[in-house]
Amino acid sequence: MTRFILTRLALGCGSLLAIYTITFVMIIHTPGNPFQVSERQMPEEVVRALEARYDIDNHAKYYVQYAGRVLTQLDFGPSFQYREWTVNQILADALPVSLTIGIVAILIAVLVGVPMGVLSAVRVNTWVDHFGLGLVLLGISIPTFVSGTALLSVFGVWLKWAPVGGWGGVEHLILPSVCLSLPFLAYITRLTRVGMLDVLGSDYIRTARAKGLPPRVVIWKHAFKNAFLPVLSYLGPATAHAMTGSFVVEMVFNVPGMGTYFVQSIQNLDRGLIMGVVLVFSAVLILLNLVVDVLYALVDPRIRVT
Amino acid sequence: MFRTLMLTCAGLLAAIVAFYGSADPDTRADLTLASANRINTLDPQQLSWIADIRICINAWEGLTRHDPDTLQPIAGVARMPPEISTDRTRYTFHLRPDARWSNGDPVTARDFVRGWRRALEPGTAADYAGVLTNHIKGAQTYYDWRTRAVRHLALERSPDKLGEREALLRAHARRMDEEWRKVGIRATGDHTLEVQLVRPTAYFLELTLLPVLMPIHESIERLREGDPELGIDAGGLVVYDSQWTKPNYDRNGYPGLITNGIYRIADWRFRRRLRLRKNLYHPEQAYAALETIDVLMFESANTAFQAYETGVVDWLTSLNLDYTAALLQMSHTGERADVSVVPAFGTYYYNLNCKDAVLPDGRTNPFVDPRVRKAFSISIDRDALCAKVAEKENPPTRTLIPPGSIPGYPNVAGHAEDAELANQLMDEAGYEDRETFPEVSLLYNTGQIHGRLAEAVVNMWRETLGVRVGMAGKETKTFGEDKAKHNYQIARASWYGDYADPTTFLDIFSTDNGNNDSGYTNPAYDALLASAAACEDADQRMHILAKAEAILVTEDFPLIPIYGYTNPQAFRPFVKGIRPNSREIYPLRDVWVER
Repeated sequence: MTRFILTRLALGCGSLLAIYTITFVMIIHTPGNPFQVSERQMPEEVVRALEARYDIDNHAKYYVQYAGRVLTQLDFGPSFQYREWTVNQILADALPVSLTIGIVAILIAVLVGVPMGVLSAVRVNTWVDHFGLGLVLLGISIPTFVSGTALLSVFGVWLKWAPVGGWGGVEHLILPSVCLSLPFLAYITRLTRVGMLDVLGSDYIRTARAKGLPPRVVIWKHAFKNAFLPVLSYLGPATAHAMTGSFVVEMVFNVPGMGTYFVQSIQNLDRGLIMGVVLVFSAVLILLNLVVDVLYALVDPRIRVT
Repeated sequence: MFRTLMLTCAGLLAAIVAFYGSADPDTRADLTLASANRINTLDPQQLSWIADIRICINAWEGLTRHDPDTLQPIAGVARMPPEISTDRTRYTFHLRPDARWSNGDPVTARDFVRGWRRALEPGTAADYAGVLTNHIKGAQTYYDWRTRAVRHLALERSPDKLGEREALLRAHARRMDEEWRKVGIRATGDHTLEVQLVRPTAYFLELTLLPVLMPIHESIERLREGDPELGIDAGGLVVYDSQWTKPNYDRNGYPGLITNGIYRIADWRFRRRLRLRKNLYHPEQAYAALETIDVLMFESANTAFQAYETGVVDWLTSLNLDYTAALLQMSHTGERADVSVVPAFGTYYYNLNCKDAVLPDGRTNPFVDPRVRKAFSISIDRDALCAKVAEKENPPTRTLIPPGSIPGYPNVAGHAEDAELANQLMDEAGYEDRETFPEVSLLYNTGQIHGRLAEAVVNMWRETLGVRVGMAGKETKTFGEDKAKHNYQIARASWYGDYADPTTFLDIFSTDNGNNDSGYTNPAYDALLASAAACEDADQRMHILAKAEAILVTEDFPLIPIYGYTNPQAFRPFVKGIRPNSREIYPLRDVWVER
């Protein structure tokens, strides 16, 4: 097991290096002046001098030095667009916000989605199942900017149960997390339902029923364990996805998370920030995939990690 | 298994909820306003966005400040009027001896010199360095001398084997103060600032309102980077740790940002909130009614509006909503008395590339011919455009300077739309057969209204002139790059005036101006600007400038004016003292709250 984890970590570092390289190549081929923050023109000499100051005119040097700084000091450098802030400060401010909302969203999705999926499977083709499927369809097909605006209008503006925008307490956490959880919830419900239906038709379940086990035990103990496996493998990337922030959800609820930077840092050609968000996202994704694989082995003794 | 899963998840959720608890009952500020954009920077010498300027003019105070009603310069740190020499090129400002920084230090003339010199340093890359180089004696020479040195030092990257670079750097650093003394900015006493201008400048006091001419507290020197002995970095730049504008920044004994306005920046959280608190050392602090003011930052204008509707925000300084038009309609019927709109000091227009007949990427550019430019401009139905596409009751405009925006400036008529004449001009230019007209496209930066507007304009050209114009929407940085390289035929543009004088608009079409994106050059136009600069009679000067504007919008057409910007905003009736104005300048010392 230890060896497996170590191998995977080493591979993960390789992936990060590849991601860094690819991102770097794409950045240096994107036209535009990263120091230009207004519509007014900057004198050529000044642009050149600033480029020299941050070594962005020397690609090889920048590539090596930046990687070195990130590796040794975990320092992503300055932000070119927001001069007063370093990328580390921006990420330190935004990452906890996104992580919290993401985890809460996934927890909600699991807490609601898994039981709903099981119920749908057990009462297949009844109104429970149809209702569940309807919800799933809505969850998957309604874009978050619609559901977000609707949630905000109903619970924020109309009922005044939750504040509009801001960050700080649980009350700020609820609406964005619920909004973010909807697509994940829908997907988990569907995966659980399909998994359960699959397993419920299998031989060992028939055996379990035949030897007179109560349906409760058959469903929740014997069937669920196997049916949950596809959900578990989905949870890894899903959690990474939810935790690194959603541009739309953050904008609608005015949450100061990381999602915004995925779009804006690229528009601004803000090198450090692009690298910061890309590398942090990739690292989270790689780590969570590893965690899921390890959990997999714990849950399913048939799978052995070596 | 199922139970374990559910319990684990519920437990985790409960733990997070418990950890966050309720938001700290952070006392609400006396006034909360929403900024549509995040604050880009608070560095007075670098900032140029309106959201940043709005903070700056309250946290800093220049030689002058805005009169709340007329926005004309009135006594700030300096007493008014200053002593002006008989040739009107030397201004001597006497500073209030009781002016104080937010830490209690007196504001001296040297603080102004520090700020102004900083604006001229290439390392600051000030957008508004031109305010000094164009008007203050010796400033251009110093700026050029420094820029040349930087070009040598920063760009000469070969290994310094013989120590030549090092020697050059030292020699240059030693001469810096000496060269600076040739610039017409001098502190002749603790409270006396002497400024020598290049030529009499009628609007010089207007310029002293600009953020770029704010004073800087001496504590910034603790954050100067590079060689401590030379004061410059290896590339010859004077640079400071860019975090100096943070109120709680602590490095090398830096006390955190110190400002001299009637408010100081008490707290600044990126993308969340900026809190202003009254500067108790300010000599007129008793005048300001509000103790604390919060500026909340919203990424989405819609969410900002909902925050306003639910009372989180008292004042929305701009309305950038899909339904702004509907709100404005309601404000006219009296349904929404809290919403208002005034014309802004800015114009939306298209630049026509006047520079070369062949673009850098090889395309043909027919707009070097003024007849074609004129034809394209007078074939747009601006009234229809503003009625159908513009969202904020934007007035159609046929001039560069918003009509009626500058006291004493005569209205320039502009050229009326005329489809017949436009077609005639196209024929004269040699395009009787429109099929021979080269392929042209309209470059714009994607987002906001630009795409929709471009579509409508392109349709008008097709219908009126029978010319097909392509649309090239690009994201901002690429758009900027194409514009800077003059790699376009028609490009979206806009300009907001910085001070209440026609030159703030007209200068951008003078031959050597760094913002002359159309590449337009006309000696007659430049001559008019020069003769206005030399003109001593204020009235006559305005007439000369009007003549210059008329060249742009009735003869040469380096631009196609489209519409005037407007400032829609909303504030609660209990917020008093806000005077909606074209410049979006709101001195907060004049605002109070009656809840």
